[in-house]
Amino acid sequence: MMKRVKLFPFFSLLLLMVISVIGCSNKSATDPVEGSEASEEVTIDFAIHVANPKDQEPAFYQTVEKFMEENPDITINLQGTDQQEHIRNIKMKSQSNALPDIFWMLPASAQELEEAGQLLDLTPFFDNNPELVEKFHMNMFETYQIDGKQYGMPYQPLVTGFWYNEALFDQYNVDLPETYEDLTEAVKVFEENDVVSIAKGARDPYSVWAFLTMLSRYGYFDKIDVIVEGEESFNNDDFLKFYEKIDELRELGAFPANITTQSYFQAVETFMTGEAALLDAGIWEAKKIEESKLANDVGFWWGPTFDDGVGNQNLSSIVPAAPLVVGKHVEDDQAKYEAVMKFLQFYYSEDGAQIMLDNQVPPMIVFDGEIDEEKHPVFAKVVEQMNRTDWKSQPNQPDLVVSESIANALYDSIYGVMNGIYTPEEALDIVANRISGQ
Amino acid sequence: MHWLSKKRYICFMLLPTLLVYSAYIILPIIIASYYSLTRFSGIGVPEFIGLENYQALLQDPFFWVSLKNTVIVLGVTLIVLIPSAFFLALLLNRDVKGSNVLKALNFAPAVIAPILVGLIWVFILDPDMGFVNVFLQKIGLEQLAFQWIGGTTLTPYSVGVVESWRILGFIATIFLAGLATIPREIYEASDIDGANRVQKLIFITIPMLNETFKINVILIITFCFKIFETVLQLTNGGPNHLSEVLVTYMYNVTFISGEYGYGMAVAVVTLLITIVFTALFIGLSKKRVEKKGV
Repeated sequence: MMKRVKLFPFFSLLLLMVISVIGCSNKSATDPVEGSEASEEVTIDFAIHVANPKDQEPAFYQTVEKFMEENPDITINLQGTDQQEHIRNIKMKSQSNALPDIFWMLPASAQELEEAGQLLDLTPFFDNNPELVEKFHMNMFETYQIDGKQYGMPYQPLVTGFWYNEALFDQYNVDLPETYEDLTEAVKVFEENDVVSIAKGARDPYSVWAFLTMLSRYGYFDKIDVIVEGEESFNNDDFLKFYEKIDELRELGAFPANITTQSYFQAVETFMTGEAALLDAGIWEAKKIEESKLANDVGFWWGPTFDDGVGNQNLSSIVPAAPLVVGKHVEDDQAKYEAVMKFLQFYYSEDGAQIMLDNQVPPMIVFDGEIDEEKHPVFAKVVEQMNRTDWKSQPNQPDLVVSESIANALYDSIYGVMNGIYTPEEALDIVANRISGQ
Repeated sequence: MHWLSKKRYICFMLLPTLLVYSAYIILPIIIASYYSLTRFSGIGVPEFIGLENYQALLQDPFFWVSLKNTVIVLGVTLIVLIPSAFFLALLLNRDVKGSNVLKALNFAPAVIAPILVGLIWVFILDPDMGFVNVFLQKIGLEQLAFQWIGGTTLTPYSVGVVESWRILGFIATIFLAGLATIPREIYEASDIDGANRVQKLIFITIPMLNETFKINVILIITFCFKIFETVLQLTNGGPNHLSEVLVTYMYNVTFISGEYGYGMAVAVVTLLITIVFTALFIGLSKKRVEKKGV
C-alpha cells in the first residue's frame, strides 16, 4: 500500500505527459481543413526572404494586399524572415516535406529543390495562359526552366549598377566616367579631395553587384559552364585582368578606408550623406535615394567598359531575381492549387506590373505603364538607362548561375582584392579551388 | 528514503533527464557526425563521401586560421580573465558598505546578450569611428591608433578582451562563491601564526580555491570554443575570414555557403578539440594534485 502511494506522483506525471503529447499532436479529424474543397476559404502560406515585407518589399506587399482585396476568399499568410534564416528554414522544411505553398528561394537552391522533386511544375499553368507568356521579357521567363519544365518565376527584375552623385562630379570638375580609364581618373581626383570614390562595405560580402557585371565584361558567361565542368580553370588570363583592375582601383584609393568593418548599409549611408561619389547597388535603393536630399543629383550607370575586355562591353544588368517557387504538395489540394495559380496570374498581370511601377520596381512583362518623372526622378533615370538600345543585358548575374558555395567564393575573391588581403592571383585561386572542390 | 536507494527507482528517476539529454545533446552529435561524412547542401539526399570532408578540412587555410584565432582568444581570455576575476572577487568579498550593489553591477555584462556586447564594442573598437582611436587621436597618440578590429592581426586579441569583459562578472561570482566556502577559522589560525595578507592569499586562499580555479578554467575553455555572436557583430569573420573563430567559420560554411556536410565536419572537429583541451587540463591538474600529495 505504501509503495502504491509513493508511486502515484510518477504515474500522475506520466499521465500528464501523455495528455500533453496528445494535446500537441496533429489536428483531430473533425478540425476544419484549410483550403479543402469543403471550405470556401483558402489560405496560402507564402514565405519571403525579408523580415518585414511591408517596409522592406513594399511592391510585393502591396501586390499581395491588392490580390487579397480582390479575392476575399483567399488569405495569404505571409511568413517573413531575414534572408539567411529564410533559406535555413526552407532547407529544414524541405527535409521534412513541409515546404510553404509559395516561397522565394536562391536560384541554385531552387534548382536543387526541383531536382529533388519538391517543386510544382508550372508548365501547365503557362501552357494554359499563353497571353501571359507573350508579355514576358524572355530572359525573365526562360531562366527557371530545366528540360522545358518551368519550376519557378522571377520574383522581380534585378537591375544593378552604380548610383553616382552628379553634384560631386560637378564640384570637382570630373567628367562622368564611361571607360575604366575615365573611372581611374575620377578616383584620383576624389582621392586628392578626401571623397570616397566607391562606397562599399565588406561586412556584407554579397554587395559586389556592379563588379560582377564587370566580370561579365571579361567573358564570364562564355566560360563559366566549361569552368564548372572542370574543362577550364577560373584562374585564366581574362579573369586575371578583371582582378588586376580591382587591385589598381584599391591602390588608387577608390574604396573607403574602413571597408573591412563597414556593412553595405553603412556604405549606402556614406553615399546618402554625400560623402561618396559612387555606390555599388541596384534599383531597390531608388526609393530611398528619391526620399533623400540627393534626389535631384543622382544618376545611374552600368559601370565601366574595358579596352582589354572580352566581347560586348556595353553590358547592362537587367536580370531575373531569385525565383518564386511553389511546393509540389500544392497539387494535392485543388482549391489551394487554383488559389496559387490565381495569385501568380495576378502577380504577373498588368495590374501587378502597375503596382510594381508605383513602387519603383520595373515590371517583368512588356508593359506601357506610366512613370511620373517629377514624382520619381531617380527611378525615371534608371528606366531611361534600361531603355537604352545600345546596351544589352548580361544573361544573368554571375553569382546566380553557380552554387551558393562558389558564389560565396566569388564574393570573397572580389572583396579580398578590395581589402588588400589577396593578390589578383590569390583571388583567382580562391574561386578555382572552390570549384574544383565541388 | 528506502526505495530511493533501489537501483531500479534511481534509473526510473534518471530516465527523463537521460531522455532529454539524449534527444538534445547525444542524438544531434550523432546526426552531425553522420552528415560530416556526406556531401549535402541541405536539400535532397546527402551523398556519402567517407572522410573527404575531414581531408579537405586539413587543407583548408580558413579552418586553420579559425583554429588559430580561437586558441588566441582562449589564451588572451585565460590570461586576462582568471587573475582579474579572482582579484575582483577578493575585492567584492570584503564587508564594505554597498558591496551588494557592486556585486550586482559586476555581474551586469554577463546578462547582456552577446550580440549587444558586440554592437557596443564596435563603437569602441572600430578603427575609423570607434571611441578608442578617436580618443587616442584627440590626445595626440595617433601612432597607437591601431586597427583593433577588421585588420589582419589584432581582431582575435580584441575578441579575447571583449569576451573577458563580458564574462568577468560571471567568473568573479564563481570565485566569490568559492571564497565564501573557506572557513574563517583557518584565517583566524593564520592570524595567530602571524601570517600577513600575501601569505594568507598564497598559502590559504589560492590552494583552497583549487577546485574553483579548475571549474573556471573549464568554463572559459568551453566559453571560448562557443564564441559566436561577438565575432559576428564585431567583424562578421572578416576581412576575408581572417578573424573567424571555429564556430563562426562553421556557421559560415554551413549556412552561408550551403555546405552542410563540410560545416558539420568543422562542428565535429570543434567538439573534439574542446573535449581534448578540457581533458588535457583536467588530466594535467590531476597530475599536479597527485604529485603534491606524494
